[in-house]
Amino acid sequence: MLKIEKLSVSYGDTQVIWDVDIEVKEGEVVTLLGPNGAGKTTLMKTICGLVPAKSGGITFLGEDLLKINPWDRPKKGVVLIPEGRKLFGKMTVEENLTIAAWKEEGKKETLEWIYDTLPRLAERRKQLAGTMSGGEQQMCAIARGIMAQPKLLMLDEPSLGLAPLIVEQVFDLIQKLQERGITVFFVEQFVEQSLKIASRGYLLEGGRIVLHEDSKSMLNNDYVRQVYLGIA
Amino acid sequence: MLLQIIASGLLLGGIYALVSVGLNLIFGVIKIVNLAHGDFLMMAMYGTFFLYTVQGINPYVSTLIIFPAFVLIGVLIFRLIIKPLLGKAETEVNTIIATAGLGFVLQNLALMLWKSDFRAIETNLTGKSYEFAGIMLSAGRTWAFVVCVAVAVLLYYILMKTKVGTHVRAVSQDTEAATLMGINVNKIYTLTFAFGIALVGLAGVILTPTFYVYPTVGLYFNTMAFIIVVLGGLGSFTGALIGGLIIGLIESFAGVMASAELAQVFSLLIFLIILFVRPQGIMGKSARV
Repeated sequence: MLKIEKLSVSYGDTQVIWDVDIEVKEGEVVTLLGPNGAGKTTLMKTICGLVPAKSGGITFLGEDLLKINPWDRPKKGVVLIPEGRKLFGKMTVEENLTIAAWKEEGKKETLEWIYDTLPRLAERRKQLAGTMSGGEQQMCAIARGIMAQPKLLMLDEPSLGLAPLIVEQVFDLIQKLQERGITVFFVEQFVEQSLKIASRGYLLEGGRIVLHEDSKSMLNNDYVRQVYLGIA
Repeated sequence: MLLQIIASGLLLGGIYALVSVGLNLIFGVIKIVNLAHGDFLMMAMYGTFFLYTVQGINPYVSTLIIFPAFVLIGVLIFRLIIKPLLGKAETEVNTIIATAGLGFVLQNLALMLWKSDFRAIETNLTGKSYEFAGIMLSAGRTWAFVVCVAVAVLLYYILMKTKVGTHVRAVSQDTEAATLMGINVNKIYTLTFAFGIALVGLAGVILTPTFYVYPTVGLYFNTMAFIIVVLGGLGSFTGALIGGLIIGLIESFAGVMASAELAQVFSLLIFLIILFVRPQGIMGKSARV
């Protein structure tokens, strides 16, 4: 579904992504792991067009994504929920949700599904998004992404800065997305939890993919266990 | 007497608000300061003047010509001058220099073409006033006020209730998030700039029957618009309206109680006092990192 080949990205003279190959197949949940500064957010932003690629290619359902305007990519089915949520704080929850719905077809049903799944958002639909708690805002940000009815939903550190209980809810929600037929590609810092819900994982270090395995082998990998899980 | 002062102040304030609202819209959404704002107003006033004197078109009718013409001019200016500077280093400074330069060009163009003469038109409303419960209201300014209220209501409706208005608000809050939600930020910028310029064009049309037209008339209104926008709160739509009305009221009171020459001194004085107390403006948000 999503195919990244030999992708390189630079900020000016500084190259941050080196020859990255990633593939996400339809219906999968795939996670991208790695330390701070590895280039995870840059990679996500490149897929969405917020950062231009230097070389290499990204195709989505066979179509060259790099040739499509960033603002047209959601209409192709590629939607990113950015790091730090980036809600429209001075708009209501409902305005935030409906702004993402670029097509009328399925809009009502999707909104109903969101309010059923996340009753807190239904309660707060008339509230300004910026006045909610961090956890509620994150749920709203994910819901906003769902409203675009994506084929591939990407999440950049959805658990960032949230309390453990809320983190669990976020992971639950990601699993529900899969049940809804949405393919998920997400960046996380919680390695163990991420690998439990993902079928495969990529490890990005210093802008390069250093490991790519299915989740089970990754959890048993000595390097991952030592460096990321703190188990000797 | 008191009611008369308040009424005249509100009418004047309505005109000021109309002049300022486009400036604030552009600043609020695109985050650029358009220093040529007053000079677009001047061009619209000349446009109205010549449409009346040469073609005999009533100023209020010429809105139908000036408004769409200024939308077009706004699109062109945005594409040619503003857009190349956006998203690069020093955008703020560069857009200020570019628009200030554009202002000088427009002023000197007007000076070259039409000399520094003060011009005025007489319409069927000139010198007329309406009497309402003992209060005398200048006909020209009353209609200007009506237009201002209509524009405010319409703009509020567009921004809050329509899809394009929601997109404009989204872009003004976070361009990156707006792009991720499938909004073409550049299109919204072009639209906002064009509409902001058209609004000041409309203000120029409405002003012409009651104000003199001359090449540097824009400077006076430019200063006024900036004071109003800063007073009301940068980027705040309601701020521009409230700021305009306050300045209008102050000038009206000062004009009667002191003298017409001192009116502006008073408005500047009160402007400074308000800024000491509320540096972010009346409706503005305080800058917190």
